[in-house]
Amino acid sequence: MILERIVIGIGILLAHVLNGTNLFDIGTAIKPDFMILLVIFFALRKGGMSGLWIGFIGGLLTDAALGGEEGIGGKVFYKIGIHSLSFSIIGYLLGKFGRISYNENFVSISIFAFFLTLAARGLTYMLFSFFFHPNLNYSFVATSIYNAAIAPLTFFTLSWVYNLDPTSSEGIR
Amino acid sequence: MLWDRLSQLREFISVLFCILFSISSLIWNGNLVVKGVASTQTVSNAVSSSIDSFGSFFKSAYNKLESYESVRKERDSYAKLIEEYKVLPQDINALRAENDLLRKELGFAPKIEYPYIKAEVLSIRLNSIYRIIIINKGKDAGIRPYMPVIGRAIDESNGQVIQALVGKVIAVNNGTSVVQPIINSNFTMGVQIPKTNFWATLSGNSGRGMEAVLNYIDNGFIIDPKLITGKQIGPSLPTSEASFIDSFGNLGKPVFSSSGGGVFPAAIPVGIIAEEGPRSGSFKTAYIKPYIRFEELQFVSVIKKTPDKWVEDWPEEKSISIENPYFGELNFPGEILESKEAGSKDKKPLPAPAPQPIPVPKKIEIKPVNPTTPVIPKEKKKLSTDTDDSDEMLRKLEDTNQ
Repeated sequence: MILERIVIGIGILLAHVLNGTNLFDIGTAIKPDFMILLVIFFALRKGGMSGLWIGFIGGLLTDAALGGEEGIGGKVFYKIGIHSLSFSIIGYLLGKFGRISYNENFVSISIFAFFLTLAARGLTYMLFSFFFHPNLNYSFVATSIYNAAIAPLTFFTLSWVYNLDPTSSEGIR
Repeated sequence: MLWDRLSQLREFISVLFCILFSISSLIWNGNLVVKGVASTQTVSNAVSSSIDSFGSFFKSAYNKLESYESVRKERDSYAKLIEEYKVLPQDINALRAENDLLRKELGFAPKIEYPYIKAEVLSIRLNSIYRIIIINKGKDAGIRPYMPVIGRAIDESNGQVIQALVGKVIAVNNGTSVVQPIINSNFTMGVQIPKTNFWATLSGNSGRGMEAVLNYIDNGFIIDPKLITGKQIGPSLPTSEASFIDSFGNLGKPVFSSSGGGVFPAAIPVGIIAEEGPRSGSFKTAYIKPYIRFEELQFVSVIKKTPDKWVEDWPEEKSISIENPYFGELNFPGEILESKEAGSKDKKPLPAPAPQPIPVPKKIEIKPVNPTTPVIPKEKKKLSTDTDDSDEMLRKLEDTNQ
């Protein structure tokens, strides 16, 4: 049990580190979002609670990567809470309700990855606009398409690493 | 008993915790947990940077193998350039001395040259909701918040290597700093074009990916990026008219930092105007393509310039924010009549204006101009232009006085 959680934790850290690299850039800064792919994978395979917690922890790390900003009087302002909220909500709802309609094949993986990345980024954008300001530069579609394109390979790799087949109904909670 | 009850509510409690923790972190920004979570960033940046270096090693090795011949040609041309550059220091010293002398003669302030610190880029996060760049130098190297950051770029108009603006430092740790690039949605600065009266504010929140937007551009400027090329577009104009357009068409040229905000030194190249944007009230906007290619940035220089004293001492109550940049349309004499004519073209022709009796002023008082006199409202201005041309009005006034 503990070992399993450690391995999942390593996966979250790896996704976070990969999000920070420029290795997968296409053109002008079009990048995939590995963290949301990881959340989608675990939500679909292990259920709502896994989706919730992996989304929450992965989101916290993503928020930490946004960095602080020094304001008046040397006070540093952080943006912790944006991704943790959006990723955990998406992970939980997908694991809770989305698994019923999910029948895994290459096309369904890509479609789920596209729409869920779009939804996660849309929610992140709304939260950022509400708490800070509307960010007109935030990319929705390009990242979603990229995620949809790499989702089948990512799912295959993660299924092999975590030994979680689509047919295994482990931990439906 | 209680444990059993909690176990049953485990799912509900988990969801509630995640939502409440996230929202409270956003509202109560500086709590210890938030600071703890944020501190993990340093470790992940270092790992990301290592992966980048590892990846770029293979990428560059592949590129080098692929373009071996072109690299050899480049090497030969650089060898020639180095020979030429060996002579340059003498010329530079002579020009510098001449420049200092001329500045003194003309009474200009002495040119300040700031020291700078070179730093390596650890991570570029352009795909996130808040775009930042992490560099590997921080407080220990003397970097402080709000120091300007520049980087090497190529000016595509002449092929020269320039030091262009990357952004500014917004947070500093001991060994790393967070840089806010000019394409960050929260970035603003003042820009100008030298030798013109063009001033504008640059904002990173352009909605155009890798471009920034210039706001509050005066209406009188013609925005035509094609002017950069110097090619004639359309029929040739008479000399006087061409010079008029040139004087207003300076927007097609590169823009530089203005130093008006007190953070950036003046005359740092920022970018080239790419396109005219949508109008914002009574002002024009324009999209600007930064010189820096952020996705390829590897090294930067942090200029050791802290914000000017007045920026820190500036009282909050004196700050001005323009909520709605709409000051009303300018109505030039004759424009209103023309627009009325155009609007009622389909209906029927305008009747000839009936002669209006002009009131004779009983006593004309000449008062000194008070600097605090409020601006005449738009309606009153309209009255003067609605009736007739200014020359004709003067003539009528003269007649009545006689």
